Amino acid sequence: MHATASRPVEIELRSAARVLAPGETVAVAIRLRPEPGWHAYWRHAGDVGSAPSVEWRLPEGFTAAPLRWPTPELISSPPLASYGYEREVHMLTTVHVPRTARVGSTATLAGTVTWVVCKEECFADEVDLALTLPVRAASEADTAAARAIMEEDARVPARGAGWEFLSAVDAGTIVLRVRPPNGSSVLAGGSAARVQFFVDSAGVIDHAAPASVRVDGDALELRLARSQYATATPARLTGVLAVAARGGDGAGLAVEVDAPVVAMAQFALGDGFAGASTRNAGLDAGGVLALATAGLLALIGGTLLNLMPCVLPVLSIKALGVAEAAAHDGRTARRHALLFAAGVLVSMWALVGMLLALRAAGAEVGWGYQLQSPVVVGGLALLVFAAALNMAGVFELAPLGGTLSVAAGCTPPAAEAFLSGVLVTALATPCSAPFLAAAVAYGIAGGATSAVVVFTALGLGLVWPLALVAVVPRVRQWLPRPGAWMVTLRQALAFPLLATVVWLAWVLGRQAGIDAVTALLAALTLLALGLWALGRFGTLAASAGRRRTARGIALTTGAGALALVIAGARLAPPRAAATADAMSPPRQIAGALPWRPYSAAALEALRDSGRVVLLDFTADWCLTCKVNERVAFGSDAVRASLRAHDVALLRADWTTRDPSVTRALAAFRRNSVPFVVLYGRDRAAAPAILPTLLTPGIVTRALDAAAAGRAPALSAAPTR
Amino acid sequence: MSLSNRFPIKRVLVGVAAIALAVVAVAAANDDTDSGAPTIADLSAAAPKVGEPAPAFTAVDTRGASHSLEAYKGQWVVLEWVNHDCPYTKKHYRSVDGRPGNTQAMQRDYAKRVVWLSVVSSAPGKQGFTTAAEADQLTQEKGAAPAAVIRDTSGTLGRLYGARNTPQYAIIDPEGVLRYAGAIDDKPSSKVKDIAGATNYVRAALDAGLAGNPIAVTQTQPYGCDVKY
Repeated sequence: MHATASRPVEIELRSAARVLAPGETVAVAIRLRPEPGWHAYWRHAGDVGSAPSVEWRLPEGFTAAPLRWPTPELISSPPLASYGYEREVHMLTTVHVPRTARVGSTATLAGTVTWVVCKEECFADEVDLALTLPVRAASEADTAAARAIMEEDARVPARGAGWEFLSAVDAGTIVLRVRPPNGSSVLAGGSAARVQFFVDSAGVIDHAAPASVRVDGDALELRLARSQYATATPARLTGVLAVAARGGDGAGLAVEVDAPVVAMAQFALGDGFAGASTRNAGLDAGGVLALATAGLLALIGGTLLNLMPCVLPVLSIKALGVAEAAAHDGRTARRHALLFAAGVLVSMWALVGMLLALRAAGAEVGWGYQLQSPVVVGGLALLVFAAALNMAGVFELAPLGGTLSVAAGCTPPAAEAFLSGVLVTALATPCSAPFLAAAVAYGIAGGATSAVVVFTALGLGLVWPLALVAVVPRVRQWLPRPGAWMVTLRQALAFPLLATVVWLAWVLGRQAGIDAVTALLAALTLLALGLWALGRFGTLAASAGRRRTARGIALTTGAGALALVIAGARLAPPRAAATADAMSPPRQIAGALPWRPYSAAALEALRDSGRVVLLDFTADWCLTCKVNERVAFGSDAVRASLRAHDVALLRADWTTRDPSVTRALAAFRRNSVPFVVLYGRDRAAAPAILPTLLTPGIVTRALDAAAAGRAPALSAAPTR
Repeated sequence: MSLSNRFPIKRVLVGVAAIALAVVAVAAANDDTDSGAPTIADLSAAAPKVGEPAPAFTAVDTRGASHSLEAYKGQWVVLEWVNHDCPYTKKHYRSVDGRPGNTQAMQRDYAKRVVWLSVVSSAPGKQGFTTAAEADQLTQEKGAAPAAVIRDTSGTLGRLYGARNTPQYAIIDPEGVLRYAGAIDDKPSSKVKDIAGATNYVRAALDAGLAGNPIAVTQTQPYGCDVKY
């Protein structure tokens, strides 16, 4: 089988054994030796040519493993490039000889090889190859062939044990982050040697564009230009990474790459490996760094949480608390702040503990999950209502706090400070602030340690402004002087709390229906009765007997109210399943936007129709979501833009637990709302992720960009 | 402790203003309009985009006749890049068991409904280059039935359409909009046998387009030899 003028390649079948033995395996190779100037192709050929293939014809019971390919070379012919071999190459397989093979017989390994070689022009043909070998009790090696096959085997990329890969689509590029195992010399000296990534499928990256390579700590980052033929974001980026040896000596190394493609937000967060990478190496130095970043983001997020719409009523309680504390001496103020912080942190830990336990039990839950339960929403409404009555002056917490302090072992103001911390946490959780989503997603994905670190940082972010006021006298001096106005303010602040109760009642109504809301209203009335009794007869001026009776009434009515709420929530009718038919006209309410309920099928169908699709992840208990919907989606400019661009609106409602919505969020490495995604007409382009807080301007600009098919002008990463 | 009975309205207002400013600042910080990364549009500037008007051209065929895209308004136009010596072009022209090859079958099936222009963009002296007479002879020998064979010896038409491989296709609708660009099918191989099990993107696009339905796959990476500019 020698090359002739019309066949610029020599092709041969080789076996590492010249005698086969039953039950053993033998390394077999198809050798291609192109004439000088010609080249054969790798398993993915790139822009020109195609991979050789073989159809085996093996004796009964013999099997051949899929071909294994040594690392190719980049064959450049601008503006095109392909992957192949100008040298002699062996495509390797392992043939299994069955136990039933008869000793003393011969076995013919045969196959048809289809091959293409190119120089300036291409040449293709197929050739039948056969190798007949004797079968004996003991195999014998063919030394020359075995050595050639072994040498080639050493050039086959390693499977990459201990390597970590992660990638993300960033506008016109795919970023691939590679972290070699500890002790690898690949990044020795702080700079990478020549690096080449060979993608193994078409339409993913531009084969001819050189990758820009950057060493980032213990990881290597490659930016690869996307293929002009890219039609969709791939789920995984696969291929081979080859690193040439420094100074050109030695063999260098090559490793098979299988990187999950994650959202840029996840990718941008620290080094992003934990939780998403193919291999999770636990918390090593890089992981700690990423965790520190996530912790910092959570700290900032927690701080900003103070300003979010759903925390504003809570902020009022805190403002009052600080004002009160500042009225006392510094020691009391510090004590107050400390206890408040303790309340926040303890409830944060309780939340994260429950969250981890639920996830461990297989439940698909995320940030804010606790408000998906009608009982929790109803209970929260009772708590906030009680706080409102307290601030309005219906009753004083001191006598009741005294009751509580029997258990807690501390004086009434201490219990109050601690409880307000718990309340703040309870109300803050449905809120999502900038920086928060990425940090919380990282925390939950990264396991128990990172979850606790992130949630602790979140709690600290929530309390430090107050602590600062309490601890640093200079800051306190800036606050208004205490005075009688505080009573007025305190009473006035009861009303934001009552408004919060209205909101919670509405959420409960959406979740569990009118009966549950009625039960809640009855429970509130009962609670009001108890608290009024406490305020009227339980004051310190009253006799001990009366105070005991008043306390008893308050506790009984409180318990009764809670029981009513629980019973009411049980009345919850099952939430009507959202109809998933994307093409049916959306329910039209006068003046309302034509939202369709989200389902994966609806999204696919709408994207297939070539329209711009706006996907809004929301929940009734998410006040930030509601603000976004009113302020941004409700504005005339946005409505006009939605109509002009014929934007299809999909709403993924997370008000009650819905695994399909949780999964859809998880696909973006999120587990909190609000979260708004905008898909352009071009299926190939990555969707734009809108910021947490929306303004009409942000939305209209994003819509214009999506409709024009431009790369999203908005940052995909909430961390920026 | 001196108690003031006046409500500190100014300070409260200042506080509210500060909070509002902070919220606006946060919103602005999220409104990051400069990603700095190159866009897909930059990278594929060379090739026309599917869904946009196909670039206008006037080209001369083997008989000396002029073909302009403008003149074909109202008809579907197929541009097919060929190189008769390229194994991948051969794969799709090879007749098996006396039946017409894959491409000839398409040319016949759509002959009445589309304008099929085979384009030879090989430069003089390069593989696939022929004289006009040789090209006509090849067409006859292969039993091919294109409306015309365009001689694009300068490679102008090929470059205008970002043709990289043979075979490669561009399909233009009656309004002059590019509707499909890319490979003939989804089996990048030189094996004639692979045609049977492959999804033919060109047929799928033409069938859908002619029936007035949306085309499912509009853009693929072509495979084959490189165009010999």
